[in-house]
Amino acid sequence: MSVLTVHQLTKKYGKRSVLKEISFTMEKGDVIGLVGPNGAGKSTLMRSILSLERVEQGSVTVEGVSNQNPEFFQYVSFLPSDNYLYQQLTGYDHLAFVASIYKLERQIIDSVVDSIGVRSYVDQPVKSYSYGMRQHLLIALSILTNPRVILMDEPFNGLDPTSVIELKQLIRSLRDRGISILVSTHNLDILEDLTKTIWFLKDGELVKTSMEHSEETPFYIEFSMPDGRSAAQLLANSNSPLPFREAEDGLVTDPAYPLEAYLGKLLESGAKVLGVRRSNGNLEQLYKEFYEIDSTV
Amino acid sequence: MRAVVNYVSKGVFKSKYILLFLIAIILISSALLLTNLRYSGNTFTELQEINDNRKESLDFLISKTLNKKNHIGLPDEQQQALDSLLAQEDLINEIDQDLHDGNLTIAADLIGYIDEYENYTKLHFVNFENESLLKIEKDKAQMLVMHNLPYTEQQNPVYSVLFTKQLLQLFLNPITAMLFLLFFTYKHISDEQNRTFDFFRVNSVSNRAIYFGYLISFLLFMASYIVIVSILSVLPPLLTGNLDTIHYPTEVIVGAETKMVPVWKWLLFIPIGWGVFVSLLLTVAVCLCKQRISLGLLLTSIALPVLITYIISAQAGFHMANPIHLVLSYEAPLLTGYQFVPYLAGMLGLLLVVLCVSYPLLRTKRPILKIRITTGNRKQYQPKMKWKMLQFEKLKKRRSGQFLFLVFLLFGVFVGTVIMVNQQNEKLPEKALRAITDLQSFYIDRQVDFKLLAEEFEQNRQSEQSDVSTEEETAANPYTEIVEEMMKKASILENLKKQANSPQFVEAYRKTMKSIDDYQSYKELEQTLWSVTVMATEEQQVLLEKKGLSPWPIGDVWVSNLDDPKTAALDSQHYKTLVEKQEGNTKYGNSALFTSYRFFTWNVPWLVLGVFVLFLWTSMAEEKKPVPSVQFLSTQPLRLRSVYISKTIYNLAMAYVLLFVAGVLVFLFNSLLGGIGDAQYPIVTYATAAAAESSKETLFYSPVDLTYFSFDGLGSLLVKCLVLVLAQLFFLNGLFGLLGRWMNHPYAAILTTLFLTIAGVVAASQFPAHDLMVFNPFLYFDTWNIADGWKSVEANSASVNVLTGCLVLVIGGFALFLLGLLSPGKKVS
Repeated sequence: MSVLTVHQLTKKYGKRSVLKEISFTMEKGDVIGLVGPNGAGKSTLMRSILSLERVEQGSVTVEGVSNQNPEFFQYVSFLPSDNYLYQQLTGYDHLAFVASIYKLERQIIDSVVDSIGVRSYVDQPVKSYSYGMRQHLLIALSILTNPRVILMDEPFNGLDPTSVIELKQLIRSLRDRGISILVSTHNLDILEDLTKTIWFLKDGELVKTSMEHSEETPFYIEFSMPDGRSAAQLLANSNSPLPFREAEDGLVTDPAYPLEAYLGKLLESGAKVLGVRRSNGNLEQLYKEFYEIDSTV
Repeated sequence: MRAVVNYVSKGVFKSKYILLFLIAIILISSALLLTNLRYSGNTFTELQEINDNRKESLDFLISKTLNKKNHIGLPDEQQQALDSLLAQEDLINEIDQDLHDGNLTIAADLIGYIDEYENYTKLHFVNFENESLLKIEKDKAQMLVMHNLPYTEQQNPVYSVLFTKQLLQLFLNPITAMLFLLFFTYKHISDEQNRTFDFFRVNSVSNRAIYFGYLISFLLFMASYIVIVSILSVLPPLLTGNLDTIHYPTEVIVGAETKMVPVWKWLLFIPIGWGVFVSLLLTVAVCLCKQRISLGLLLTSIALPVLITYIISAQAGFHMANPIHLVLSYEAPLLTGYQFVPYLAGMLGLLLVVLCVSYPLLRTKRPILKIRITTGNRKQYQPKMKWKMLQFEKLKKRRSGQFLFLVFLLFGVFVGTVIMVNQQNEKLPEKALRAITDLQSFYIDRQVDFKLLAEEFEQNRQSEQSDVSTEEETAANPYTEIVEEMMKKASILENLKKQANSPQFVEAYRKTMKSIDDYQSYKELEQTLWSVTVMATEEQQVLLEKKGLSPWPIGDVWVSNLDDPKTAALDSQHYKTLVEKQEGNTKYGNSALFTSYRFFTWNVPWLVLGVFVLFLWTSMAEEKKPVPSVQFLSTQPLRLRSVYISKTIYNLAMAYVLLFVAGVLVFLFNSLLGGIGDAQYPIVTYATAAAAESSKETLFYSPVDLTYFSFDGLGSLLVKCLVLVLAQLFFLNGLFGLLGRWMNHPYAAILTTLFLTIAGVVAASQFPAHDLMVFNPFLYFDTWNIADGWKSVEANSASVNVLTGCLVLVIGGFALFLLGLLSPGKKVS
């Protein structure tokens, strides 16, 4: 059942289209990674979903409620990349205010404060927070109201490794509770670890990819040669018609050809096969391919 | 401790704000110097004027006497008088020549003149000088001669030490003392909250060293401030070689007497007195800081005893044990003699005692008082379910510290008004003496003419003696009677001066002034003399007697707005007369109601309105910059319109509540000082012809000023003013809210609101009679003049009144609010 529905969302800055008739749905418990270079429109997409930006056309609903209706925000929460908190107020002030809007008990604030680990500084003014402390507070605010959808714009920025691990765990636990999360980040390793559903934003359009394995997914074969030859040299010398993509310490097969054919060729050539697994390659490779980045540069 | 002192001092002295502070001091000093330079010459003009008057009187008397001598000869005594007059004329001519040459070293000649005049008075001829003024002049001249000094500019001094005195009074006064206190306590508390104290503690610095270190740093800064101000102020006389003017005499009125005080006494007393006073405040403040109390409680704990000492001084007068005289009301009791030496020694002793007492307090590890501990942590916000947005607005203001600052500022404005009114009231005898002396001089001056006319009359009668009948010979000289009458009045006024310090003085003053008037009722006069001032004075007196109320001092005349020198003066002489009349009849008092009256007539509410806009009110613009917190609100299930509404309601509610609370407290405080006052006191109110026609009551009409007037009770007028102020707040809030909705920066919204308000008020005051001005809401910001009807006379429109004002302001405010409410904008970028 789709929770969030975005239909033909179009946003322009002057004549430049940042979002071109973007449409998608998010199902319950989806964790989707939104990727794109700076200026691709990731934050604009999130802000447009939240109606923080005026859009030229399109509609956004969550469980049938339009983003033009304040009720929308009972289901959606937002973790922004820039600071929008009141500097003179404490973290607790923010949490208590939001809780008062949702008529939440104080115990809920306390449990969120403890679970996110902001207890030690929650009673200090936000202006005294470090970047990481502020991110923690924003995370606490975004989960306080138990929303259906959370939009996270660069949530890992400024977090220490422990906090990154904790946030990843939190996102997984939120997913397990059926909360849908759209998360944008530049940190591809973290994202790859979090989700297999990645959406790329390019030229105002959304390209959805999945890193889930299927029959079509190629294999990655890790091997070593006693004389140190590479896969290209190996297969080139064998006059083999098998297409492949070179990878670090191995190669990636073409799904059109059977795995056995590759393994046979490698073993024939005296290679020592160290491991075989299905692989889409890593996100970084996908990113490079998608945005046509020359890795030799 | 030295490390702490170094650390704090460096922190203070290296702060970029110190540079700004220094620049501000230099700019203010330079501005004062330039203003004085531009307007200097008053003393010279005054001396010239006095000398010219003397010359004129002497010329007149001499020519008349010579004329008499030529016709009928002079008896010996009159010949001696003539010789004396000629001698005086010589001296006056010399002074005139000196003044003409720009030489103000005329004290010796002036003493010579006064001595000669004193000899002359023994001859019982025509006296033409006010002897009490002569005495003051002689005292001053003698001091100048003693120190070989010329006269110098007194009102706008530039090169003399009088400039030093003026600058010291500007920089070292009770207000700057309180600002110092505010600055240092803020610095102390913020350093403590920012863990600077913890930094000291982990570096093995004791509590005693930390707190004394702070205290010593603050005292050093204070001393540096005094030194800088003193050096700056003494520069002009030092560079121009006028340091010897430290002996220049300044006039201080003690009771009915005017005494001369050399400037050096001021220069000695002001810095020491201010320094000791601020040191006392800072020591107490640091002790209280040690108790870790909040800034609000700390300032209250200090402000309260200061206010109490002020009340004691206002009620009981000077007392050697009262430290308030270090900065207030010290001139007459301390500087006229050498009382300031034991007083300052005593106060230094008190400071030492306070420092000694503070030592064990600051040494302790824990606070002695069990008061809320201030840490970086704030009390947790626990909103109630109703009025969430209002609570949130209040929280934001409270957390930013603006709320507390505003409360203090508001109290400062109110208490400042109270103190100003009281200080003016304390100067009542001084003002009264000046008014009496002016009137006395007027009679002495006029009797000269009549005395000579009387003499001429006598001469004529003697020359025509052979031709007249016996009956005519015995006819009384009409001028003699006038002269006698004038001398009698001058003598009555002299007696009045002697009562200046008696409790009955005010009553005596009023009765005396009334008794020397030449008419009992304006109705006896021709209608061409029925001005509003003349009529209202008498009618007000009738009402006062009917109600059994005591008239406000001083003067028996109620000077109407139609005799305001700024607008009514026909020429410089008329201006001078009107100013003298106004000064002689300015009303003084210190009751709560009188202070409220002054509060509105001085237009202090403008300051209050500005304070609200600047420090309390909140608008949508605040949610946009510098932090776009509007996004935080926009991503909650809230409508931005509800935020806008809550801001508008919050602004109004807080403004009204604060105004009410602060007003009531200050009213009560003022009641302690001078009682409540008379709500029934009749005040003149003005009306246009149209208003008079539609009025149910019969209004008085002045055929001279062509204006109707009546009387309204003070209480009723104050209520009207209050209602108008509430409506003004409503309107201003609507305007501010709308601009805040449209603008992206809070400061832009504040500045635009203030700019529009000032422009509107200026337009309303410049073109009050314009047809459409009745709809200008800013016309009704001139609160008192709307309430007493004067504005309706100026605008020549009966519609300009409190009711219309309230309607225009409320409807206008509501329209602006609606405009803001209906402005599109859920989107925030």
